[in-house]
Amino acid sequence: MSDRIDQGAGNRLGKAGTAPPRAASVPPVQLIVASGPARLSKENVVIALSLLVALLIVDQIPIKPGHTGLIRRVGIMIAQMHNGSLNADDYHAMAANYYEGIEQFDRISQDNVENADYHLRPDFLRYENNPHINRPYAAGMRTFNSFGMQNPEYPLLKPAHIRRIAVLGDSISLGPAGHDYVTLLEDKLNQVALTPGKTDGFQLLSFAVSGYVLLQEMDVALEKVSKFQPDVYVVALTSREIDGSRKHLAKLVVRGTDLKYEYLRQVVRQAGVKPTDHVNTIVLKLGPYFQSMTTWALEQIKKHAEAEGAQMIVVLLAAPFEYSVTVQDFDVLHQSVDGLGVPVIDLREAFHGVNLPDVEVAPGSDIHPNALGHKMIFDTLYSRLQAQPEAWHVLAGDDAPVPDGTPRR
Amino acid sequence: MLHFTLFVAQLALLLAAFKVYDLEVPTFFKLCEIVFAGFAVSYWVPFRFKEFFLIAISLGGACLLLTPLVASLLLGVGAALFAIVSSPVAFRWKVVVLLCVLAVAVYGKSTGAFPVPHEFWPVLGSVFMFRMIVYMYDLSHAKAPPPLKDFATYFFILPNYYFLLFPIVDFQTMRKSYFKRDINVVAQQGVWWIVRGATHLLLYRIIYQTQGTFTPPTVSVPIAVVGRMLFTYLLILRVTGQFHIIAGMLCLFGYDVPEMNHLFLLSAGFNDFWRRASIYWKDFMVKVFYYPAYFAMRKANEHRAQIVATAWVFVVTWFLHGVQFYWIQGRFPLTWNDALFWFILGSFVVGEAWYDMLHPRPARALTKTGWKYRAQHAAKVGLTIATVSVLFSLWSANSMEEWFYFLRSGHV
Repeated sequence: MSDRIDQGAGNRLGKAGTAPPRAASVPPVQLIVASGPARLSKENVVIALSLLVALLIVDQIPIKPGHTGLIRRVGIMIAQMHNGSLNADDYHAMAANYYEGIEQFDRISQDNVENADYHLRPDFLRYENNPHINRPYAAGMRTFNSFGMQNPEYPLLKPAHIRRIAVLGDSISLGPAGHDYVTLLEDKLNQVALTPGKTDGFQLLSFAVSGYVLLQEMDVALEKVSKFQPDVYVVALTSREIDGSRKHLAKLVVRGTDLKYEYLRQVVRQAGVKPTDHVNTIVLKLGPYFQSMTTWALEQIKKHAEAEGAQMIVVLLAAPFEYSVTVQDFDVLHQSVDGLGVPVIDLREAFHGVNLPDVEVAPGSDIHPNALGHKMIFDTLYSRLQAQPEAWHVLAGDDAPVPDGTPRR
Repeated sequence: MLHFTLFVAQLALLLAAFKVYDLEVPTFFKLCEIVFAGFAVSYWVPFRFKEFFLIAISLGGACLLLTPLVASLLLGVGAALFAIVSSPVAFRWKVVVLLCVLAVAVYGKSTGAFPVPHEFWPVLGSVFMFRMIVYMYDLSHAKAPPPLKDFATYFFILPNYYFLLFPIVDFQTMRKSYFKRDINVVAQQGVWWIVRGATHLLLYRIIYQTQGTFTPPTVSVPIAVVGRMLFTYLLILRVTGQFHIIAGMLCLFGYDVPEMNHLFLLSAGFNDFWRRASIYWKDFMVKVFYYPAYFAMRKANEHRAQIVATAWVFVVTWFLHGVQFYWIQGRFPLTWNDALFWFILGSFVVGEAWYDMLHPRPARALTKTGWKYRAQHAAKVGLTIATVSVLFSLWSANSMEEWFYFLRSGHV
């Protein structure tokens, strides 16, 4: 490229027969304006056309699973060029940032309307749902009863012959009221799993709170759920759990809030965490303790459930994420849940092959599942329950007929 | 007609490639459709109507790429700003009024007190934040305020409605570059830059998806640290890709603007990196901040004037990057690692400038050849890449503790 000082009107060629424009007034300092020779056009027409055609042809190269070496590497690169999604690290950061409130602890969400759904607590839980919420949002209605739960106004005392299932989770378990997977599951159980004289009805109690992580769900299980005498504790874990509990712990440390559980105090000490550390630094320091902390929290819920005469199920709940991220995250979570001795229902396939914007509340800004997304979650959950009779019987009771008609246990 | 047919073929293939690879988000594809279709029409429009046609599609494009409310607010603010800058009052009072408008905008954005959509503020900042500084600088030297046409074409640039991180196109450069050369040459340059930009964005995806594999225990800690640093630097391909596409789109409409960056990965030294990495930013700094400071001080001491003016440029760069972050992301980043990044980079540039002043190179040094020179040059390029990679890694960390933890463990 040759540089030249542009002296004003110069050699401006417009359409034939038209006059070039007047030069604008020139300031004292003239910038160097780069230009290129005219012959550049022919060369780069050929290069541009060739490159574009090559990109389109390369996309058509069939890469089979059995391919190895260079062809496999090319196939990976082509797949990566197609993949404009966030990688796992950034998905987690985005999911966490939705509830960061721009680093202000007294705002749960960046959505000011959603912040009215919660009130703050100065303790381990940090916040909880407000009672009597009934407001529309993009996917439908957000409705909390007098206990701050998104389910009908069930009394504290469990009626006779009613099987209660407590669902602990985060906002993925909170969909549009009446269309969330919890309600769909309750309706289905009341259709197909009744055992006259033994189980006359099912009540699913949603203890889900937006932004909650396993440590908070554990605290809810130990402190609040017993009052409702559930028969089953369902713990719904999402990809947020990969760093969510560590982040929750980090915020407690930074704020100087009591960690409440001696095990957690011990972990924080062993990790060398200081109250002056940045939240992200604490999350990194707690990294090696992720699996043991997750297992410990789940074991607390299991022991508590058993002490109450209840059972437990773990559900790995997919969100409308890139499938590869979900697979990676769920494989990590399995390392913590598989040794618990409770049924584990893996819903990683819920959104596999689905056009994600179709199942999101607001594609690009709110990727929570909408009503269609919750239907897909429910369908996948129900098919997994049918394929896992042990999980089905824990959920619906020993005498509940299995939906596909196989003999009772 | 042959030229036009070749343009249509290339632009059609570009659209096909964008579609096949799902480049950026759907709004980007919409932008390309508007720009390419607009070019196809503009090519045949008589010269005296071309800029008016561009203004029309730019304003129409604003309504399609933004929400109607945001587009209307943007146009309303633009009209108000034009009224201010073209008013007959003295220049200093125009600056005062503009600063008042800025204060009101900052208040509105920070408090949410005005009934405007929250997505309006990043667009407002992106369109007017820096280009208004350049415009006012040129206005201070102009005989008369530029006409509305020049104001509209300068501020309401069609790609800016999608690309909020936007290069600081110089006003005079943009005016003087308009149809400076044969449109077929300029438009082909534009097409080529868009192709280059698309290639950068595709390479960025490969780098972005690959960087996660450089994490222990998959690789050792030293390899993870080195790999991650290099990849963090190479992630700049996203910005360079977008900027190439922006410049290419401007070229399609006859603006023979300069390249946004020039082979910055081959920079042999920090001055060289500073000059190549973001040419528009460098020109903005030189024009508005470096030269005024330099000319004010050079009578006392030429060398000191250069050093102080260069240091001043980096202080301003740090501040204005923070301002940009505030408008687009919502907060001004006051972190040690951000300040340290600009301080270290600025120190290297100032240090090199000082060294060059004390050891001026003879003219023949500019035409050195031979293997020894090539080896020295390659070593300089390698050292520059290594140092800039370390600096970018520092810059991208959330805190100094996080960066030190990364250096020890390889985890981000």
